[in-house]
Amino acid sequence: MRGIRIVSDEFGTDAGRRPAGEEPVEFEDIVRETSPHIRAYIAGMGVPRHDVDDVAQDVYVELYRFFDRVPADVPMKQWLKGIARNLCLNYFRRTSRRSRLQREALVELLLRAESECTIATAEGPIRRALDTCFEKLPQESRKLLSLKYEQELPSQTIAERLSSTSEAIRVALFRVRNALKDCISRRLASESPA
Amino acid sequence: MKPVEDLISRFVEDPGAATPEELDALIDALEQEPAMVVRLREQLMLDDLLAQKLTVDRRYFMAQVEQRIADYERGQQEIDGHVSDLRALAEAEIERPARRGPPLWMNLLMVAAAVALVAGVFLAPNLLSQGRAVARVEAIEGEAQTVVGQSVHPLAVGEVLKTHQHVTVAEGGSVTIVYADKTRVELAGGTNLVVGGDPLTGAKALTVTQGELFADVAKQIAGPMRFNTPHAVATVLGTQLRITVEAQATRLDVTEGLVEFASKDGSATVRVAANETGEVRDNAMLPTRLLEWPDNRDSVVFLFEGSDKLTLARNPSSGNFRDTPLEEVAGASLAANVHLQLSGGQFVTEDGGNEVTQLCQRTSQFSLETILTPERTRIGGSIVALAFANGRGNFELAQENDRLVFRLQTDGTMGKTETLNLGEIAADAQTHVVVTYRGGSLCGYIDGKQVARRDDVHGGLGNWQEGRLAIGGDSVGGHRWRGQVAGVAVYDRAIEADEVARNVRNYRSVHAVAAREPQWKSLMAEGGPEAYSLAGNWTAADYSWQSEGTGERLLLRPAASGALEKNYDIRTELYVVQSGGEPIELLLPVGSQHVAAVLQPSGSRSTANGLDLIDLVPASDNGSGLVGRQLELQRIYTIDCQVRVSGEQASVLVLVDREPWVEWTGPRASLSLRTERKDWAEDAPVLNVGNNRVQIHSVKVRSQP
Repeated sequence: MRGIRIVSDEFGTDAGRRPAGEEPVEFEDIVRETSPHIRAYIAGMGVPRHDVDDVAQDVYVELYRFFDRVPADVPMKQWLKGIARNLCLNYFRRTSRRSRLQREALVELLLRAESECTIATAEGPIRRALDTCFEKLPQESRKLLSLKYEQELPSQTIAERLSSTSEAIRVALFRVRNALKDCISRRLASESPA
Repeated sequence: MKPVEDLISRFVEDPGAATPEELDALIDALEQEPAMVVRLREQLMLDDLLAQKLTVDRRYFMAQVEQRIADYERGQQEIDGHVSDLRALAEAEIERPARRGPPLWMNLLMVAAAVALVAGVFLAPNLLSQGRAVARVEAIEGEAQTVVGQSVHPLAVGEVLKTHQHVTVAEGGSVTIVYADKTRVELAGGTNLVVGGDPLTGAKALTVTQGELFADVAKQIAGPMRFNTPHAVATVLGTQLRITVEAQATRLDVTEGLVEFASKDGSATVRVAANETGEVRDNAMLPTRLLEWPDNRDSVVFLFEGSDKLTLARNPSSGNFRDTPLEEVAGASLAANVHLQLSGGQFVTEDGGNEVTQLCQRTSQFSLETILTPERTRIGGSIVALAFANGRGNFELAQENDRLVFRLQTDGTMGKTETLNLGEIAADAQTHVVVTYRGGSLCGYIDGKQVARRDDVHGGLGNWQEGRLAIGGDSVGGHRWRGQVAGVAVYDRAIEADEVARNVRNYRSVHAVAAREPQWKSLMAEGGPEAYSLAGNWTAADYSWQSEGTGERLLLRPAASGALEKNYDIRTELYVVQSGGEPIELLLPVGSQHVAAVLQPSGSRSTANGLDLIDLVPASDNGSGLVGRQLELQRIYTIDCQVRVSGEQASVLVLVDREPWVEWTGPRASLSLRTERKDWAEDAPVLNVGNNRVQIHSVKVRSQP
């Protein structure tokens, strides 16, 4: 990252985390390595897609501001998830009262499920796993994902293009995402140290 | 699908759109089936991971974080600045009581200053009214006036400008002034300026009260050149910049070097580096950002800015950009400089064309901006076309020999195609073309200057049909063009003249490195084969030069620009009509030595390609080329040849359709052609087609530094 390089004293003095002589940890590397997961994590708490990156940027600005406060014994991703959780709750607090209570209840439910959600707890390179699994998808599934995410078409418009119904498109997307989730979980499990 | 799954899939589609009732239903369902909460969470996360991967606007997260951190740092610096100001004030207050009065030397100095002040009061007005000569007017387009004291008169080319002299450039005009050290300042139409300068040091200064200027500042000895505006001061530490002054803002674009940019009240200062933009608006310093082409992308609906970047089209539904790859059609390729190389092929996008059509229909206005380099002037072809073929369609920018034309249909033209003549165009010269249309006004610009305008073309774009956006030919694959296209932007708005000029400058700044690459010189650009023929009978057809198979030779040296340097490249497109059995040769000077690169056409007795002669050994035996390859008949080949000399070493490389057929590096003294071919004494490369009948579709050369 141009002009930004953080050399953390915290890391530098913690022999347990970084052996002597190793290159200092760069903020850019942390963002690159953790951001796919943290962004998805924020989305997993029900933050609308168009606001996910704003919240995620706030997470990294907070990290930048208080980098020296990251405890030595807490993994970076876990620390970032803690910041993300608080910022998501702040995000929903800004909505109207009724909606806020519902959103907070939903976040509460989603957080409770975290330990059972393989994607949320994954430690491996989730984006690389997605790229590999995506390549294995059938052509039809990839076309559907392209219409949905690349061209950002709503299900109704995709249905019109493919002579289908919006419900059928949502079902198909649900299944494709499910298949991807299974594939990613398998890959991450096979890559993680025993 | 179970009801709870349906609720989940609806929520995942757009979590922000869920109504309170839907949220209640979802929460109830999830509480009853806790396993589904995991499902929902996984679906939401997968949805976002896919969006990160596929949605264009989400691919630049790193840059966005970088910007946020930079904003944060800037905010911190401002706070630190205020704190240090307050600290300085406090320290001054603490020190003040200690001062009892000035020392003796200071009293003497004050007396001297008073004498100087009295003298200044009487002498200064006289000196000011005369001013000091600092610059000269080099060029004027349109009208411009100047004010000296009480006198107003039209500005003239050659006029000497003095300090305190006012210059006003009328709308649509321009003025170029130069200083003795070759510092050059171009004033755009609508600019008001006062010439200034430091009387003691001689440092240059200009005060711009309104308008836009571009400056190319030479290295300054007397001190940095300053540009004052009502909102800011730009201090030039480097060389090239542009300043735009509006009612509430001053904008600084730096194209080379470094400029210190300060708000007028001195509360904020930034250093703006090459290819960056700084802006003071409403007395606040905005964050610097990178210079871009196009400058303002809000109304861009299609953008190709080089093959190293994504080609983008705006999605009419979401309003966001999405990746729209261009499809290559035979004969089209990507040049090494990331431009589109059109040699009888074209690039097309069906989806991009449809989306451009839809978006321009909504606004009933558009602009087309493209940067192109025609290969030659004796040629016709469609350069950029939108749903246009056989003389009809949405629009077409075309070359007709040495002229550029733009054709357009609107729902006010009664089915007739209207034409805007954009004037002459030169071969091998990069040209920035912009055409804008808003009901009643069709304007054309070349290199930032308006060259054509029609006020009699009316109507909206409701009659536009969906169809391909094509580059290098029309929308059905006909009317192919030859040359390079470096950029294409289509807007759903008629951009204004000042934005056109800014885009031209930004493009040149952003692509300055590419522009400094050696340029090809096409031998076919202007003349016929007679200007280059050394032997035999060459005839010129519409798009090629043809040999009769009677030992034709061409001298490969640009007629206008003279000799090539010792390092040079040759590129030709060759089509062998009929083989006569002899090889085709490129006779190449390599420093003071000579060598022949030999290529065998089909039907030749030999199949050995290579260099003749190395240490008197012929191509067939010296291992410099491929054996067993021959140029097939009736097929166009692109042949590239590179000759490099470094001291006593040299190298020769010949590529056929990008595949090396001849490759050699060694001492140049071993190249011994001249001992055998004493008849050949040219100091420039020669193409010898022997007794083969060939067509040459293009032939160009360039020197390498």
